[in-house]
Amino acid sequence: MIRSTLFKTDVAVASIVAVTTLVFGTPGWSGTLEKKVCAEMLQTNLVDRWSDDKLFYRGLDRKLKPVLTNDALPHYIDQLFYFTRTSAGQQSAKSVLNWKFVYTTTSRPNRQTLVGLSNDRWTISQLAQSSAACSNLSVEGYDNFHLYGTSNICLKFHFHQKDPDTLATAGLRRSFAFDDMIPRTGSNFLSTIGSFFSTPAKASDATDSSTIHGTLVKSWIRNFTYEPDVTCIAVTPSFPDNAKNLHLQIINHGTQFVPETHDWFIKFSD
Amino acid sequence: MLSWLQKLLDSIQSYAADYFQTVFKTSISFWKMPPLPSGANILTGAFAGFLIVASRFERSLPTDAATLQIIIPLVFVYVLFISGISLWSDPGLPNRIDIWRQLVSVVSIAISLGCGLVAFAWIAEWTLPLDSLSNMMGFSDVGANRILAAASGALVSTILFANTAFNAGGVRTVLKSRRTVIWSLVFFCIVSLGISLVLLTLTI
Repeated sequence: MIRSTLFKTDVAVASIVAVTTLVFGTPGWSGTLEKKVCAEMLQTNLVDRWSDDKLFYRGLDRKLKPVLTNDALPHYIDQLFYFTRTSAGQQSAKSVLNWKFVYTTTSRPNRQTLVGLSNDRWTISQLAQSSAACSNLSVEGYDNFHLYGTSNICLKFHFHQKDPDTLATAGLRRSFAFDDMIPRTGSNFLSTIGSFFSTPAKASDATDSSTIHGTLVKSWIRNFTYEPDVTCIAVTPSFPDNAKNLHLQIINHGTQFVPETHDWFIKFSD
Repeated sequence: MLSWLQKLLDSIQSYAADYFQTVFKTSISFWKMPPLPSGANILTGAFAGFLIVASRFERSLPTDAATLQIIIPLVFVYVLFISGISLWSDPGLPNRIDIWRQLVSVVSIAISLGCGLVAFAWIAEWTLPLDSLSNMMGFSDVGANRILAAASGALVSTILFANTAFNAGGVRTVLKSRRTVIWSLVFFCIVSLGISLVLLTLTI
């Protein structure tokens, strides 16, 4: 279907963005909740002040449980809590977490090649503008912007931000790309050029491309401020009902422009 | 053995010389252009195909096979038909069937040049002020690409006009021909619309 409208508001993207911003968009109570969660983690010895970054959820018994890779998680999880320790000099410093969700779903999504974006800084009016500007963003376009510095009005003027600058260094910029989180189908411009200069890939080298048509992709920016000792950041992920698997990658930008990447491979149990 | 290789290289060189001589003489008054060497439009089409993909890449638009299978034939049909329709609208031109090939060549070169300008933004970000303007006006990426297509169309028309003036011996000579002036505006519309088609957003 050929699209020719100037202002096309995509209902699906708008609803994803609206839900995430309303819950995940720094409401007044979120700081208190996050402090309580951190206190609970320390009290129950799930973490200590020297622990590495971890991810938690609340089970049916409302107790905090760590998310481990290859875990089978239920769909009902309403919130995820990211734990990170606060190093010397980081207290009260601003930073960013980039959450990249790559879902494998049981059925093919209607618009499988588009990326669902969210930035918790978006106000209601920015949300409306962003959902219009970002309604057509393909995975390929999103990755080309972050990996090769191509132009995109949505990413440049709506999704990314200046304070903290999410595109401050090449490393931070590249950290946003999905890259090998998503199996590639067919060829794109650079792979076509590359094939002129290299031998063609053997069949055994090719990645399994069967999941691309059943894949949902999201990239969320979540701003936070380092608390004393430890910091917890809550996010409402809204897992799709038909999700089978999730590759979740969280990139902690920290305060030194050296992003730290953490991966979880999750299966959904119900 | 070397003699046939020598002959082959000579013929390629001679063809390339003829081809680029014609390309350099591309002008808005296409009815005065020399006849095209055989296969010139096919070669221009191949260059255009590459630049179409390069410009889509620069604008972060999909360049996968499924998308290109729609975009490239669409632009190809557009070039052929818009050239035919434009010629039909100018009954004063002699030998319209004969000069149709020249017009197709000019339109192809103009759209390729426009795509090349868009792709050049990957190296020098000249499109950034236009994108900022589109953002200020609240346009989506689709709207931003339309603005860019219009700006590239205007630049290409200016380049074509300058080349026409250079080949004709000055701007005044060109401005004396009302037909050339009207065709300059027509080329602006044709090229802008062509680049808009190249930068089309598809949901497949």
